[in-house]
Amino acid sequence: MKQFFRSGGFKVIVIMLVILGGVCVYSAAATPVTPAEQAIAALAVPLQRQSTALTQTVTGFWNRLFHYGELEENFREVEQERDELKRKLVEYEELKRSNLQLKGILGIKEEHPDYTFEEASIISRDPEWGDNRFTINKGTRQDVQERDMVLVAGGLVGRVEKAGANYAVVTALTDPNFQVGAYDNSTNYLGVVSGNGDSCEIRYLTQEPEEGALIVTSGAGGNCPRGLLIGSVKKSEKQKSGTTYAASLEPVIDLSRLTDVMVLTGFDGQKEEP
Amino acid sequence: MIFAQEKSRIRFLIYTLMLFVCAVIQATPGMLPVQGVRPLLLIPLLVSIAAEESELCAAVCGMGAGLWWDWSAGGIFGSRAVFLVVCMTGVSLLCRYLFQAKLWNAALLCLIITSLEQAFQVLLAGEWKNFDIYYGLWQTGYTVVWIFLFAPVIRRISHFFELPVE
Repeated sequence: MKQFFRSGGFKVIVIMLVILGGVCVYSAAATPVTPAEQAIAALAVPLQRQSTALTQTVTGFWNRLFHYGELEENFREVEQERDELKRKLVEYEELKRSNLQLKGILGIKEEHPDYTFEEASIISRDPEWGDNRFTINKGTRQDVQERDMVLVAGGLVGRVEKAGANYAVVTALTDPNFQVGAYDNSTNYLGVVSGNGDSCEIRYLTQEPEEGALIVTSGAGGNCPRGLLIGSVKKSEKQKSGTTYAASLEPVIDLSRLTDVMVLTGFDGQKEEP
Repeated sequence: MIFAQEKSRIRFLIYTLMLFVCAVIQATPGMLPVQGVRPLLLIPLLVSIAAEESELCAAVCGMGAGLWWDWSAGGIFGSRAVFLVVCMTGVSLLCRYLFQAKLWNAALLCLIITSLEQAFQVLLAGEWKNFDIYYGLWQTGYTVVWIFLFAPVIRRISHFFELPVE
């Protein structure tokens, strides 16, 4: 074994480790995407896209053999209808509050004309992180930037963690590193939503939320618009401080079945990056 | 003699293709799930290669696979590459000087490295409080199962393409 430590191979391995260590430090120093990642992405993104499409085709074919395709289609139609109803409920509560406070709203907005979206597909998920992080097939070339919000028709899914030229890594709202300002849609009390690995929860509410209450984004900070649906309250309890409440949430969508998302690339009131 | 050398180098091309395919499969959503758990295919394949090849070959394979894995998983780019270079060099040294290159030894090394990798990533991300230990155990077990496929295949490839003793 001593011969190994005197050999040229050992010296090469040490040089490799030094270079990789430098890459780690460079990556950890808040640099968005390293040139090495860009180089790997140039090859990996098309392959992952094809591999994911092939898996989905095979899985769909298998399901169709057992008629699960019909059930899945019916289930998706019901889900879309449910998402539409929840979205309208959020809009209704928002309008009702404004009328009661006599602020007046110019016109009635069913959609948000100031939002700009970029549709994207999920091309990879690492087995270690499960549903908490995934990679999509759009990047800075399509105007996707770090900290852009990621949505589906039903509501919020997560936030872009890093963006390359043709890909982006998304942190889902169930990830412990995810945090966003939010409020109880029925009482208007503010809190903070964060992930806990399996699901998400809202904390620092000054009033106990009701079961089933809808939690939406508050728009605080300028990185996320107000009114995006996050989830509904499952169970609430008093926090250790004794003065505030926390509640576990049912996210708007099952992240394990997510295949396509929309990245919110711009909206009125968005904070500009320095 | 020259043809034998070329034949010997072909195995590195085969290793590269296998690592490539496993990296893509590992990152593809919905591939090879068992009760919601998906395997870390790169680790048993790298352990199989490291057990049969030199330390430098093991380190280079570990670096390449680690960089691709870092790209697909997110987090600090290069962290898995560093981990795998160190571990695969260690596996190669152990199999050359201490252990016999047997299947159960490879399975034990795969078990240890998979557990260490999970612990390393959880510590690096600071998420030990939220780590689902049952998911981690199931994933470790499912990952180790694959060594029983990869190790015999790599051994056959390594022996078929090795340079003849003159």
